[in-house]
Amino acid sequence: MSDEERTLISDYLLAELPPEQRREAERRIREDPSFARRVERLRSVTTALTELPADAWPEPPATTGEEAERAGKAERQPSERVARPRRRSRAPGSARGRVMALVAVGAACLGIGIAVGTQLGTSTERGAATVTFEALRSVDARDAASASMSAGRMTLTVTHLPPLGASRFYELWLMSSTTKLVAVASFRVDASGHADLSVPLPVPAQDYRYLDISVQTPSRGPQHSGDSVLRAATRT
Amino acid sequence: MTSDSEPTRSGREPTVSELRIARRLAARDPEASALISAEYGRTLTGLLRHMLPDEQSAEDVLQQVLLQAWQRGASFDPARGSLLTWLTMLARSRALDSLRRRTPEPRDPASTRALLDRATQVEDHADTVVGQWQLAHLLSTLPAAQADLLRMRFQLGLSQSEISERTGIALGTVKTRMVAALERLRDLMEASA
Repeated sequence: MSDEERTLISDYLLAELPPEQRREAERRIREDPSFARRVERLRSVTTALTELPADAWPEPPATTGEEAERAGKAERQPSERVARPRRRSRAPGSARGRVMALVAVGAACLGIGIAVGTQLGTSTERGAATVTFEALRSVDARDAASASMSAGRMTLTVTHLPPLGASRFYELWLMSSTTKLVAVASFRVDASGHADLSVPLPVPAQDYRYLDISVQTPSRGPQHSGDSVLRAATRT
Repeated sequence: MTSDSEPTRSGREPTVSELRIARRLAARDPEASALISAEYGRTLTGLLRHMLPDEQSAEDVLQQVLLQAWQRGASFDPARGSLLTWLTMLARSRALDSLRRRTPEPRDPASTRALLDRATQVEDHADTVVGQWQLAHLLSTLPAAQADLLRMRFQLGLSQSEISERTGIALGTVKTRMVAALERLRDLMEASA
């Protein structure tokens, strides 16, 4: 098997192929039993990894020098006030924005009742509903934030995020992918990088794989900016 | 923890670590328990915490597993199966015993049926948890760079492009390493099955 084919299979299983190549891979799976077997062998691994509890993952290695250097470039802004969490109205802009708008409208139509009783699956049942975020980039601290979810509410504690100034803010999301995501709350941190939120969940948290905190700029619309700084797995 | 020996495609090859522990178990060497605890303690603890309702139960059952592994160690044959499988199945059995002791005796046919259904659910859950923690152990035997790459993709949900951006590694290299990590893990899973 060539390196190109191995990468093709991997990209296909990671859902990272462009539509045209994805269709081509699916055609080969249908028509080439040998190729289909190779895909299925590797699919068993990707499926198992997707379902692995968060606490089963090995501890991450120490931050590399390169990452530390990136973290050192994290911006530092003057002190600013803490903004209360809020739900912003979202006008559809891009395709992703339209998806988010539909999700938001759907959640609003279903009302608060859908959120009441929302829990974080088995971790809540075992009394371990708190999840800790990991830095993705531009943040120089681990354990920068943690969240717990119960009875349809999420409590978020942020301890180490850089203040952003007046032109940008942080947004908390529930997400599974770039197309399946819903905004939960907007917030800013105080001069020490601290914020506490307690907000109702618009949708059941267990339906989403990750909690994500992004940096948003109002002028660029309501969709996810793509500038994520912290992320946590919702499933333990 | 490291994997000392490559699994082969023709059959499972015991690792040096497994052989070392097996020799000590066969000799009823008390040091065997310490070696098992050091090598497999995190895996067994995680498995038991996910099967049992509280930390104390998990700790109690872990001690039973370590004791039983030492008592029955002479019967473990590394040529027939992996130490990981042997230990996790031992933990599964002791955890199920612990859960059954918590279940009251049935008093009528309806409750008997409900208990049987419940028992099936519990065993299915046990099988899932055992599989997950066997995988967790295999992950811990990967080189740290490979394990971290998989963690960024599957735990943090980063795309390969995002991993490239985060680590400063070229996207093509990330993809090549991702393939290598997935195939390596697949080989380990198939060898330990």
